[in-house]
Amino acid sequence: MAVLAGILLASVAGLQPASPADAADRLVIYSGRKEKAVKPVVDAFTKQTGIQVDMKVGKTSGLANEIRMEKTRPRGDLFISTESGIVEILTKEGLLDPYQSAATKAVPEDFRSAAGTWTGISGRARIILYNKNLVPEKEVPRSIFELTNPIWKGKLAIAGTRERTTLAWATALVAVKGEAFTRDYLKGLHENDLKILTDNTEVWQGVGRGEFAIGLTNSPNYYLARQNNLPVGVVYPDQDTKGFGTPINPNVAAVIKGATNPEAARKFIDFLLGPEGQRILVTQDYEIPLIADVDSSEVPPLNSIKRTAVTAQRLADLEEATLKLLTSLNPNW
Amino acid sequence: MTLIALSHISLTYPNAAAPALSDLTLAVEEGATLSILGPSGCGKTTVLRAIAGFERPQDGAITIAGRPVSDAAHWVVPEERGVGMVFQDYALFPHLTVAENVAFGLQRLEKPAATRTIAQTLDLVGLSGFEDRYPHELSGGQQQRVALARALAPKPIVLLLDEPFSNLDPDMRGQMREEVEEILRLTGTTAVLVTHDHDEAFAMADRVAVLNHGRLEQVDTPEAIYHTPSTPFVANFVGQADFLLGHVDNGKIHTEVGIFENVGGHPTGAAVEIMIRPDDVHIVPASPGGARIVGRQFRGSENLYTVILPSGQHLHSSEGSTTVYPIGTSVDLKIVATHIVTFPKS
Amino acid sequence: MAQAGPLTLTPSAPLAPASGWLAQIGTFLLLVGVGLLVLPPLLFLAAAALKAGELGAVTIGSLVGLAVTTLSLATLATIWAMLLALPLAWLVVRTDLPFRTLCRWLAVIPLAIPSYIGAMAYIALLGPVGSVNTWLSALTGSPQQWVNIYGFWGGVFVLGLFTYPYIFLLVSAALEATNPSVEETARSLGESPLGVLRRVTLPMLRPSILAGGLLAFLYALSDFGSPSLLRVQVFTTAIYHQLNTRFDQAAAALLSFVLVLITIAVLAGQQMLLHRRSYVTITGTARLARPLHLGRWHWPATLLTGAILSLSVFIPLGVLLVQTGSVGHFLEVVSEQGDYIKNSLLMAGLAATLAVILGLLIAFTARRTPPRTGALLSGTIQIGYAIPGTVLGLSLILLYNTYVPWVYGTVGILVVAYLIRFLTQSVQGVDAAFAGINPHLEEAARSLAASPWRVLRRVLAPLVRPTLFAVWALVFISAMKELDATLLLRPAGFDTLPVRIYIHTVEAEYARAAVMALLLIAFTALPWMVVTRLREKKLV
Repeated sequence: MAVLAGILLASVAGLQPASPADAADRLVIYSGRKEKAVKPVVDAFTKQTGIQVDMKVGKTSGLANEIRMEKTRPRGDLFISTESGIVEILTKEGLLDPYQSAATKAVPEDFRSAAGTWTGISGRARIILYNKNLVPEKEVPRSIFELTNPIWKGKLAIAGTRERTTLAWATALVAVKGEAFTRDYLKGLHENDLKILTDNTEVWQGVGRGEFAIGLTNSPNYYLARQNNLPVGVVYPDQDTKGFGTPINPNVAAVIKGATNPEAARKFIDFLLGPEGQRILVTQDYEIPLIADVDSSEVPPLNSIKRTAVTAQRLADLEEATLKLLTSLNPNW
Repeated sequence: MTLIALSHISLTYPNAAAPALSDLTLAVEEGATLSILGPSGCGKTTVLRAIAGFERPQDGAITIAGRPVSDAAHWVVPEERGVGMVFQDYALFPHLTVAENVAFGLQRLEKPAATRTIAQTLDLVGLSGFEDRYPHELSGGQQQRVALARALAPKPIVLLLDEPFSNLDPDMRGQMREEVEEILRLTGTTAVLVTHDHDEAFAMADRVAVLNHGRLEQVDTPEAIYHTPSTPFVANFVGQADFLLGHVDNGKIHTEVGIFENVGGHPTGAAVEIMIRPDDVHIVPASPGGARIVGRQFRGSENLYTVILPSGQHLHSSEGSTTVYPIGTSVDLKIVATHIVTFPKS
Repeated sequence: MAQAGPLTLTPSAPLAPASGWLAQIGTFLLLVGVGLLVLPPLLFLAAAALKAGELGAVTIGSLVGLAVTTLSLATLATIWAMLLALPLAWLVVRTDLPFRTLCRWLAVIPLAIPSYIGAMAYIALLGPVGSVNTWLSALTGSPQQWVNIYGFWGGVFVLGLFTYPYIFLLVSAALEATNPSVEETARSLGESPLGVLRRVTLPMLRPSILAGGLLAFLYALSDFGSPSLLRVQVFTTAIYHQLNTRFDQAAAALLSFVLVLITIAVLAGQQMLLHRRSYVTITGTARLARPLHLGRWHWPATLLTGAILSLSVFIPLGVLLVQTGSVGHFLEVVSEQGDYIKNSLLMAGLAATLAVILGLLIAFTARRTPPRTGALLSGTIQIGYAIPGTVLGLSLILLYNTYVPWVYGTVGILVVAYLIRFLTQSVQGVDAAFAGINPHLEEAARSLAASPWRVLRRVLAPLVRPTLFAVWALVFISAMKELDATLLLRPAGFDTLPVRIYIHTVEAEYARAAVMALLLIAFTALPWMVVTRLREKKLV
């Protein structure tokens, strides 16, 4: 018993320095974006403003569930989401606080909430990722609609809707092309034995290692695969003038309603959209800057990509129906 | 003065078909030793556990030193009853030394007083110098003494001993019996001893209670239990006994081996059984005798002979071991019945 | 009274009843405390499940399908775990197997390997583009896919590999505690060695096989990491889908509730199967008869042992080691993890310590309350083990953030979650150990006027000390590995090792994740090693 009591005391004593300091004067960021991408921005922010930041990094959807559960007494100040559909849901549930400033207004309107509750901070385009060893340059598909061609049978992969960017992509199809068309298209993909994987990591790794010839995923994954010395190529599909374009999903930032420290959260959003924040964010993880004059380095700039014309609100409205459509075609979605 | 009183105790264990104790009434006098005797499963340990507070009777009342500890309105938990208990397996705390075991019940004493009591008690049981040993370093007899010392040290109102000697070697058993009896006498401790061994019960107790199937058969002095058992069960259980068939005629009981006084006052013509102990039966070789030896068990100081009567009835006789009669010897029987005990034939 | 001897042993007056009502209040408080700990999340789950109304997006068909897959997965994984554990336990306890002390220690290591890490290691090895396929293709020159760990059978394979120590621990302890002479008697009565195994040894081990099997089964039932990675659709992954894709918390609650009901049915089934209480302890006394001489079976036995330990220990650790990259990188990563290691050790240590203390109190109280109350108490605590970590995390957020906000947002909430999930390991372990104690010892103490507290502190607790250490280590291991609930409940800025491994894995920093996985395994195995060493030296 004495031993146990000793351990208990030691643990409690040892905890003191480990627990975060008083939350009141610290900015608490719930980040669905990678720590690797956000942490450098946070460090620069702290350096500039002196505001200390506590980060909770996780899956965007998990953190969104947390924010809903914490409704009575919000614990986070700022939410960084990898996708706009989720923040639209949170907006509808009244869990976000509007914030608009000169900085947020520099972001194109289709990457901002109509209610002002969230702002895009960077973008990721939907791409076709292919394995250079398995797909000769001249056979590389230029459109996602070519993928129903039987020559790709058994060679296609995509992440399931656990990756919400997949859901956003399918919803964009429904929004622009209609449900009947989308259903036929997806059926065609399934006839080609489209493999539905757990997440985008599996997609780019599967393609990179040659398990699949072609993967439908997001633009930063191309650079990630390249970084890992995998033989991959990238196509921004459907870019011809009358084409479908490709959806660009924004990473967004939003102030949580009832935040302890909303002022710091707003400051952080402005910082993210400022030149230094954008530079760090974009270079860390190969994202597409949403602000006009930010240098996108090796990533194609926003205005060079034809993006699918659909608003975040429209996507949010169609999401549930799209999900039903997907699961009716294949339970693995 | 009555120290422990059990009145009309009944106790049935959960899921048991028959009660473990039924309508049991018993009293223990202050300073006396009561022995509860019976075959295994007769409920004798249950009596002890009810007194100690480990079992709660469904009916009846128990008082200890006048204080009701168990009845419909009262229930006192074991730790507040002031009883000392010595278990058959001693139940010494294996992780504590001899001194720590003895000190266990002394937590309410000041340290010097406790130390003194431990020393005195260990001295009493002859274990001075063993204070720092652990139970597994002791012999069976020594463990027994520690258990006794541990139970005695807090000066209990009553000491309860559950088959305390059954785990000892036979020679050790006799010695411990004497020692314990001496200690109980010296300290004036009231004790209740549970045993299935009538020799032990007779040797140690002022009074003996015989239990059978949860019912009290008889409670009396050891001598009375042995010589004038009130039921055939008691007669049989407390020693070798034979039962001869007889009938009452003319105020006497007539049997195959002779005529006895009708002490039970049985009506004329009644069929009765008369109890005869081997030490009341003597054999004399005779040719032709009325009986024949069919078996002999050598028992050290005596021989126990089994003889067969013409009717086929077996009878036992104990004789000194100096003369030996071979099996098959034809004998006459001489019954010297100092205590005649009779029962109606069932 | 006759005369006073050298001692005046005058009967003292009955001592003041100090303990009675205090003990009763204590019991009451404990019951209320345990109730408040475990019941609210369960009730919350039930309430949320009811709100799902017409089953939300969940169809009866999909529920049945999920139940069939989940139960088959758990059952087959448990059988596989038994096939691994039983021969291994018999070989290390009963025979002259070489290095059997070392093997015995190694056989427990898989418990320290979280199943998600085990799954990741095997995906790297046996995945469609894993090392084995690559080698075989290079060797044969044909690029075909030789093995594929993904899917149902991969799930069975991995889950069995990392849960068999539960069975191994209990069975090897039981083997030690049973007398080999019983088996020898059977041999002398003309029974063949195989017959002895079937008719004597296995029946004797039945309670411990069942108890260990139950632990493995429940683990498989509630595991999310490995089925998710290996692409098996089970309850936990479906719950995750409802929560994180559809944001349908009601549907998630409904699925969780069905899972909890299945668990309750399994526990009830186990009670009926065991019928009478069987006493298994996870610590045994090392009184051993002379070990069986393996003779010509020496090599097959050694090979079998080697194979089992390779699959469950050496291969996964080897894969992780390969993934870590250079030694320099390894050391660099290790040097950065001080805070996370400290966080993990503190949280797991705190949870394990509280679990042991509460386990002692609960098991002790359960013995003193009517059997039905005791069964209810331990049953309630067992169910906590079955709530999927993600769902438990979310319900705790809502409950604690609303009603006890000063606990939520601190590391205290993590301890609460670990206790709900793992308290049962402690209660069961301590209870089994108590059952092995001669009841006369407790009675002797009580007759010596010891209060319940004193009985527990001075008699029972010291006697079950080895079990307390073992139970502490078990809860510590479970808490060290916990990811699902921790991910949700940790205060911002407070990460544990599994959380960091998760983050690095998601961010595709595999080398870093591998180093941290090795660190986690090392720190998780550490206390077990210490306990085992102490036990060998008879120090506990």
